[in-house]
Amino acid sequence: MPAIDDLTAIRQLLDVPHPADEVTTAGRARLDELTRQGASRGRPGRKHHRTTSIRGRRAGIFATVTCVVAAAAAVTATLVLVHPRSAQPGAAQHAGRHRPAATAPSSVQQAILTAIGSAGGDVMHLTVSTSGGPPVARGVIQYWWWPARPAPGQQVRLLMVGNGMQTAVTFTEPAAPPARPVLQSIPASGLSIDPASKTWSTISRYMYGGVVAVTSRDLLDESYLRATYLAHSKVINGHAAIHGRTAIEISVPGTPTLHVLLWVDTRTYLPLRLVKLDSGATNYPETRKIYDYQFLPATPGNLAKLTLTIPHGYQKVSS
Amino acid sequence: MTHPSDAVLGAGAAGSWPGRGTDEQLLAMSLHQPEVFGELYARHFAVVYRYVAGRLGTDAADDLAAETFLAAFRRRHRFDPARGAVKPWLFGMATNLVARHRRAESRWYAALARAGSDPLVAPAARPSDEDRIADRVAASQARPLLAAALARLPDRDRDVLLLVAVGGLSYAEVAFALGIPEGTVGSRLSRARRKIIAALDQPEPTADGFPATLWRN
Repeated sequence: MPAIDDLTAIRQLLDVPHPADEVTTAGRARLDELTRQGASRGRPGRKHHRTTSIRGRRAGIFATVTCVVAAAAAVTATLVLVHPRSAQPGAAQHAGRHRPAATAPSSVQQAILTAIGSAGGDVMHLTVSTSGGPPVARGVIQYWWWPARPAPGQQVRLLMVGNGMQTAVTFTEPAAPPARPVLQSIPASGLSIDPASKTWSTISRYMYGGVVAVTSRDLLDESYLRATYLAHSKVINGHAAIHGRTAIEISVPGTPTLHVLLWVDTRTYLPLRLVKLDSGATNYPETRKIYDYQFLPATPGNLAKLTLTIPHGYQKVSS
Repeated sequence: MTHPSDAVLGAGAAGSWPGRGTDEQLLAMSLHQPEVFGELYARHFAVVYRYVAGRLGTDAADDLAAETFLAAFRRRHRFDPARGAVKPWLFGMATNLVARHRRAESRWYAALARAGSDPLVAPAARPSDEDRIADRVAASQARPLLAAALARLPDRDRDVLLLVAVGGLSYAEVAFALGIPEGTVGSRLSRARRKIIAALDQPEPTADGFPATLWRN
């Protein structure tokens, strides 16, 4: 004979599911932020610090939240699959630039922009690894670029190593960068070395807006970060917290086949790794581009990495 | 200088706190190792969340459950283990935060009263258990009355009732959570339950104070 008492009835009426992992993680991040402040003061805090509210994050998710939730399992699997490297010399060298933890998309976005702004004068080392997609695009290319975030009119030095070539080029940052993905040929000076044929040539033009522009410049460009949605930020099963990283999913409006994931250093909020998964090319396997970033202080030693020396015995050929 | 919590947990306990120690020991440790407080969060966030969500809805609980732990962390040096345990202390803070959202709480109960819910759709823990299904049916039918009755209760009575019914606290724990005598807990709970029962037009309480059941087949 079924029967329930009033307390059970109330319990059933007000019963709710356990909190979602996202909610638990966000709350924990807020607490961790506070505990760090408490630790730095050396005693329990008396001053109430406002911490980032999950409400703001929810408001910023907009319509992307549905697809984020639906894809949560796949995202997690992807994040584990593309587990970033553990050592980050660049991050270590920026240990003095610690940022408070941010959880809401807007605050995460701002923290990244602030971090990038503070690293704008650094040497950026970028490794781009491409798999899937058209075979011609596959491979690994390394870039050293200084300054990491040039101002219009500022001289830029760039070294590229990949596809069997080594190229060093110097150019002036255009006043008005072309809208992506338009390429723009601009005056430049530099040289290119082909180890296979043991030849070298001079360079007088640079195709501004090439691969670097649609990778690093995207990430370092405020308009890009502001135009995209930092839709999801989470610590993955504790791993990201252990290794000092946080993963963020970026939703790029109008590109449903493009899935972008960004890892930032939880201490500095500088980008560590960007992964773009593009399933839009139906004739090829999904394209996976992995961009690994290091921000290095512009010391003489790091700037020397931008210099290309012609090996002895190499022959000059016309450019 | 050895901190009292070090003595409690033993030499070398610092740094190996996860899963070890009572709540009260961990809270004491957190006074000089703030990060230890995270273990209390891990232990109690879900129950605090469900308590807050039961009273205000999940949207509000997303923030307020976390706020509860932030407030607790800030006030952890005021916690007196001689008076009670950490869990009811946390529930007390959660109740104080809920109190700042009384209108939202009323709206939540109104929404619960309006919301249709088919108890047969939700899978029972034991599908063959007809009693459980019948219980759900009964609760579903009583939902509007129950929600309305909760909304009408005086705040202080509702606090006691829901700390017991949803929070699962004992009289002594409720007394500690709300800072009131145990006798007051009993009287408020008695009054609240009588009103709930009356609202549902159920049989009068028995000699021991309450009916054993509300719905009988």
